[in-house]
Amino acid sequence: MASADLHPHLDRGVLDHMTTRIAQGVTRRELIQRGLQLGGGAMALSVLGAPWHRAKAQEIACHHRTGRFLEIVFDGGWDSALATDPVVGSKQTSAAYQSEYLNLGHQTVPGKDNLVVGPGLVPAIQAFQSLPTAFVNGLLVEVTAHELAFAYLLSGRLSLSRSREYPTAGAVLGAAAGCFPAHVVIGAPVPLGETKQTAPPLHATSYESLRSMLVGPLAGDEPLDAESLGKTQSAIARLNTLHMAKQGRSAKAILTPWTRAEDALDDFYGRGYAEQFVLNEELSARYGLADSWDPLSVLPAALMVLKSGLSPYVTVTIDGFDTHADHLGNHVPLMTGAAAGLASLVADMQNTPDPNDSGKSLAETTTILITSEFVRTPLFNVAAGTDHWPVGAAIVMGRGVADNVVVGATGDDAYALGWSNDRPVERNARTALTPEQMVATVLEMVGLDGDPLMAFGEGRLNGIRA
Amino acid sequence: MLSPGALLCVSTCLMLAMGCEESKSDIPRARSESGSQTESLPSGEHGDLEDVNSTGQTDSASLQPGALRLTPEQISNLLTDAFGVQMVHTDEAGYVYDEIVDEYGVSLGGIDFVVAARRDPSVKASTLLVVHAISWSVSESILWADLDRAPADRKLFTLCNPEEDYPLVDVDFAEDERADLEASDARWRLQLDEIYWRVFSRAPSEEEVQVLSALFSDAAREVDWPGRGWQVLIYTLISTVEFWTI
Repeated sequence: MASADLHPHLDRGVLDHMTTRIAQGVTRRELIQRGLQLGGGAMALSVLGAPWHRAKAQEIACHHRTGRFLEIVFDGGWDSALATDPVVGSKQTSAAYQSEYLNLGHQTVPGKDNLVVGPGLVPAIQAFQSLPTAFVNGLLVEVTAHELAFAYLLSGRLSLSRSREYPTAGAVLGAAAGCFPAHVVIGAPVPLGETKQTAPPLHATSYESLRSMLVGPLAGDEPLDAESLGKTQSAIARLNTLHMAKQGRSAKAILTPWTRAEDALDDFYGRGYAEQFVLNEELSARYGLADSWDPLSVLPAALMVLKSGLSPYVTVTIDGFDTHADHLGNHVPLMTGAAAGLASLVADMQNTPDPNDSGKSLAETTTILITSEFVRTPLFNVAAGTDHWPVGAAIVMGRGVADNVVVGATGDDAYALGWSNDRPVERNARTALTPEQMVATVLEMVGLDGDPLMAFGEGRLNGIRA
Repeated sequence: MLSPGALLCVSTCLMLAMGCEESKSDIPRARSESGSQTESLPSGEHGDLEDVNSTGQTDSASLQPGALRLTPEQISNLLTDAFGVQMVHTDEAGYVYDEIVDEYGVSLGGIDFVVAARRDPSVKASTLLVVHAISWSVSESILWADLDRAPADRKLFTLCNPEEDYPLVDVDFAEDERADLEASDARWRLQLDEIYWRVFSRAPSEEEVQVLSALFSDAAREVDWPGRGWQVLIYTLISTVEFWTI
């Protein structure tokens, strides 16, 4: 990663302001005007529109001041009764839960008596033992439409309008750092807000497409070698130059960034990702993958991203949790498979040195957040499936996390309770636990500070931060 | 005759006038409603006019020439139309997916998280990574889709033998080989011409032919197989800015 020195034309205050406004969903017009007012017009445009050149020429230094962040999203709405909030105690006699839940059992994480998991997360118990782990239950989720709730839980900010989109935690971190790529997203697309323009992620739908992007013509059964790649890039550059020579001024202005970015590709392909992003048989077996297109391949892909130093901020999504039919038949194997993958991932992170600090492992330098847009209804529908429930739950692990802590709870009726003084209370506006609090707290755990946190208000999840 | 001061004033006014012309061309305009994407920023919140971006701006509604980047769907259609390679498939579950739109659509600025209207036409570094990933993958598919057909049934390589014909580039040969090599070169050039018309709706310039014949020759002779040369050549053409914009 580049040095911590900022470009002289863009001081910390400017960058913080821009990052804050990005987090607040400000318009691009305002950001440009702010940059121009400060006399850094060219630099403002380069911050906003050409991260590539920044990374290559280091005009503005890539500035990672935080720890690493990995978010794993169980896309579709996971069942907290199978995960962090099993049906135990008085819930078993409340009649609010489907009777099948009463026989599924639960387990306490050895040595961490506050952490009780449902059958879906049993394969991940070893991971919870290995790292500082906290559970968050009873988050008040006020929307149960997938897109709105997904955006809410990942960004920590509720929007009921599709014209107002807030960036995820990973996007906020990426925007603050100013590197290329700002962050990496593997799986479903995530809400980005203004960071889509200002600090876009490297987004791939799968491990395979991520690798294809990172490796380009150096991949495949018969890849180009370095010399051939150079000749090909030269030919492309020459053809582009010939094409540009025939264009008018407006077209040239539009197409110039393309050709400039093309010039930097050799450097990028030379970073050696072809050797670092390899999903061999041993790795596939350890993560239980059917093939390289398996949905769970996002987990080893996340490890590769962190290990290679491509980006310290990764978001992965695992689809399939929206089980409106045959809930137990579909949801349980999916969750146990993901949990087993999580256990492998944590083990691998513990055995992998941080690329910037060989004295520490990735597990020590990374904060892991596992979440979903909401949980499932406690009762089944007519198709033996479950529907959406206005409660959220999450797991936080690793760097900055308080160990053996559970914050928040649901009542016997499965609705979210309030939380005060480390115990459940009647829920009201003051005691409700919200995604705003969770995301802000996690961002602080990762090491973000200053203006970007203002958008989340002052509330925090007290107790989960070490 | 003008005094130096007057000359300075006139030249300054001229420069300012040119700058004003430049500024006028930078005034934001409304977003185009065309299917292709204008190479400019999406509209801001609350219907603000578009901002000036670092790439300049235009829109198809103006009279000024500009450039439009093709959408992922258009790229997929263009590859099918130009090369006969199928990008749309149906999986075992009956789900119809497009290799480019479904795999790379969001990265190419297609339909994003939830908003179909807010496509992103701007060029980013990640755009280039996607372009090259697609180009390399597709070039191999294009080549083998045609080579797997019997010569009489080929759809793309109809004017040359893609596994035998070479361009005549810096090659030592005996005089009795000249006729065959020149005939091979002629067929190769005809095929290149055909590909250019399919992809770019124009003939290649002589300089483009020289660039591509040198590239082809290097790649083909490395493995002693012209098919490799065609793969690299097609990859090169699909990776150019001309392919991805109109």
